[in-house]
Amino acid sequence: MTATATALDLGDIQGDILRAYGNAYGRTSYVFVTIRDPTGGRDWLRAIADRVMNAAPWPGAEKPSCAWNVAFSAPGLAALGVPERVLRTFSDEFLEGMELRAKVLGDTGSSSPEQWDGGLRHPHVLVTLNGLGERELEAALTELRTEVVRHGLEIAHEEHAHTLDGAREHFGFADGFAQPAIEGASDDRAEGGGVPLRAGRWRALAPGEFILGYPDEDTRVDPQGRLPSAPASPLGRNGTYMVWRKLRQDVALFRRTVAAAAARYAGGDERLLRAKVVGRWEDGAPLVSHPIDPGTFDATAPGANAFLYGDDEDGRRCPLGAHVRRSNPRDALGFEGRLSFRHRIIRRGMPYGEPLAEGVLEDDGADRGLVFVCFNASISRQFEGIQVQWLNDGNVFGLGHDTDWLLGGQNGGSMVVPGATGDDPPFYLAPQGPFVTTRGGDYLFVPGLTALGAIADGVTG
Amino acid sequence: MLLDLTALRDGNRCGQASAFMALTPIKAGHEDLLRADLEALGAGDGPSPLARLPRTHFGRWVVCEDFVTDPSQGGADTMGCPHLIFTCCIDGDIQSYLEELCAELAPETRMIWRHCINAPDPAEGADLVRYLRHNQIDTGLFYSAYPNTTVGEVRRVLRQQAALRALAVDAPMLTAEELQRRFLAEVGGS
Amino acid sequence: MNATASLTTPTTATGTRPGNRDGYAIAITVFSTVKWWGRAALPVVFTVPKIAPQTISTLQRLSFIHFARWSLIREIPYNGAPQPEIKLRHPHLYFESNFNGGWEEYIDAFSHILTRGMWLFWGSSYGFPKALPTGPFKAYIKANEMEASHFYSAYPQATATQITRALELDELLADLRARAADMPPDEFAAAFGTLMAEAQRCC
Repeated sequence: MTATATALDLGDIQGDILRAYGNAYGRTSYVFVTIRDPTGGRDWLRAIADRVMNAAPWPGAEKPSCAWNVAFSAPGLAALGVPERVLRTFSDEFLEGMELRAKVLGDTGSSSPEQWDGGLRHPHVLVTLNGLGERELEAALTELRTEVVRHGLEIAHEEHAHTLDGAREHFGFADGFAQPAIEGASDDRAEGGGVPLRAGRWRALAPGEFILGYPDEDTRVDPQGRLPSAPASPLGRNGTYMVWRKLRQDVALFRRTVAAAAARYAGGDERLLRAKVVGRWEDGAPLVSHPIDPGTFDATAPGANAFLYGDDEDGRRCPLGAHVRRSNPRDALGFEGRLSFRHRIIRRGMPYGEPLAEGVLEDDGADRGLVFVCFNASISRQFEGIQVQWLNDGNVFGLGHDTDWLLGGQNGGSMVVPGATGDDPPFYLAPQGPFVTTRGGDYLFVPGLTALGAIADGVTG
Repeated sequence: MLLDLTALRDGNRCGQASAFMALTPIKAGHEDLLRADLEALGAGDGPSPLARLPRTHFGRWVVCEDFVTDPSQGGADTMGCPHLIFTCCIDGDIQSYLEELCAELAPETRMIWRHCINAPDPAEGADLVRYLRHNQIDTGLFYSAYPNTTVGEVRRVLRQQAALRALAVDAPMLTAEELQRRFLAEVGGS
Repeated sequence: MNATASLTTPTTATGTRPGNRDGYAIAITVFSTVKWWGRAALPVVFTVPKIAPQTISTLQRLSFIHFARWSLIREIPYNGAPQPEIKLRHPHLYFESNFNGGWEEYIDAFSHILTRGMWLFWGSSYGFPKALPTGPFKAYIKANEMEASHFYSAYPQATATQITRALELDELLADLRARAADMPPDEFAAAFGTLMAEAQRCC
């Protein structure tokens, strides 16, 4: 036990934050509901409240057939009658919402809000349904739709996502390895998921980095033990902030671009070039520990994710601009990771749309991509820090204003793939795409179950 | 008696660069007028007037209402009236820079320092240089990441870096002759 | 338009007020009131080469800052009536920085990396809450910070890191630049490859 260790109130924390349903639940539907009047909205919330899943462990092998979870945008809370003086205690970026922060986030041009799916602008309430299978999910969707109509509300948008074969995303990479280790919840993942210490040791992150109302990394060094800023009681305990983004992927363009570039790279090794862009091989093997080939990588083996960039400072193995190195730099910014450890997020995403058949290089016009979801206690420090300072701009990595090449974006930007040894010249990838465009999203608040009850009863303060 | 250590070293300099700061008192009731005039400088994405002084790396004008008062300091310590802070990070010596400022930027300096107590009228030229010198605050420690590089040099090496990067992206598609020709044209021989 | 957005104060992408920005460059302007012992201690910190260099070299490594300065104000220059003549009870510390990156990252870096350096410079200021934890430290800076009415950078698109790398590149490039025109194309292409292998971290 450390000084900051506080038992997490798992019975009051919503279940999708600390637990990755995707491992067992292959289908997820995201349903955005618009509140028409506070009374109808609160009646509806009370009607579905007992469906909402908490984080308590499931006894034995018994899994619920469908797990419900709920989150609210700031206008959603206002529409449910949460008073202004309570709203003011939420973070500025949450109150502004994703659309107003579009320029900050680099959601411009083809990713700008005017281009977003209509139902994803100004959402109120997000209900996330995780079904064990299609049948279970359909049953829950029917129930949800019925309750919505019965209370005079409207469904603004439904997004149906599902895991792809081999837990890959649409570009073909296994995804979701680098989750933060959280004290009291996932200490066993500290190695590779926590904060690197000296002599190859790691420690888990303080829970308050991800769940409101608990000590965070700042509390750890505060003799007075102050807790991080959170919404006013009772909303500020056991909740968190959620970022929801629908990201469309142009798979055909990605394949064509990489194939064309690979023709000029290292004897045409396209598989290696793809790995250089991402920082991991398709099966997830990190380039730092597997620079030549993925070998037989077992993501579940102890220490599989426990790599650092310290002895690959020049990016000979994993380029400085590789996607996973930029989005979770570990020690890559120097100073023993002290510039990165406060910018971690819990990532929960799921692909949507049908995969583009293997080998196809022409776009079939189908909408496919990733529903990006993450949880963090401070959207500005954590999610936005990663998006704005690390992915959209390369300066902290010594990469000028290059954006993350895998994501592209309005600035474009080339990417340098250093030669494997000192004598090999680097290879430069020309500005691309973009391969990924934003189709909509918002900043949401995920209340604890007590807080959810207070919202439903109209007694938030 | 304490030795005045700052006298041993010119804190206003770092390499070839100099730091200048002037703290000038604002006429009663003129803070908002001054702010509006300052915000209008280079408004609408036009160039800042400081761009006309090629020795300027950075510059700022700040309207300061007063010093900060911390509850623990036992009573406020006041400036007496709001002050205008002007600072710049420049190439070379301060005196000749101020002379350039007060001549080249006379239309702007007149507009700005007319809001300050006992500034010359019109606020320009040698009189304004003397006024700014009188109100100069010496710098204790001046830091620069590239103390011996002038504005012109900064711009040149940045252009060169961008040109070389663009050429490196295209290089695999070029013949040796094309590569050399473009290098000489875009990065430059010497 | 999002109705709840009106509850917030506008800040820019980088967490600072709009007046403090020019392109990628950000201005910080801060005053703090200095305790009696700072009057003697700060000039020592500023001047004695053995005290601050660790902080200065860390600043160099952090590579966020183009230019920064600290000044100790002991008296207010007097220009005659109607300026009130003032005798200061305390010295005041003026700090300004011309940097790039997000405000939040910048202050984080100061807190976590320059913990001791921060104490050297601000330990004698009233109300300085120590660099760690970062929350109270950020609140302290926010409370003492002033917004510029006009801020100018001569190269607003450049960051300090880019400039130092471009300067390194300039040195590496000097030799090839001098010889390029007289080399046979194949020899040039080989030399270009060697240069790029050497120069990749600056380009």
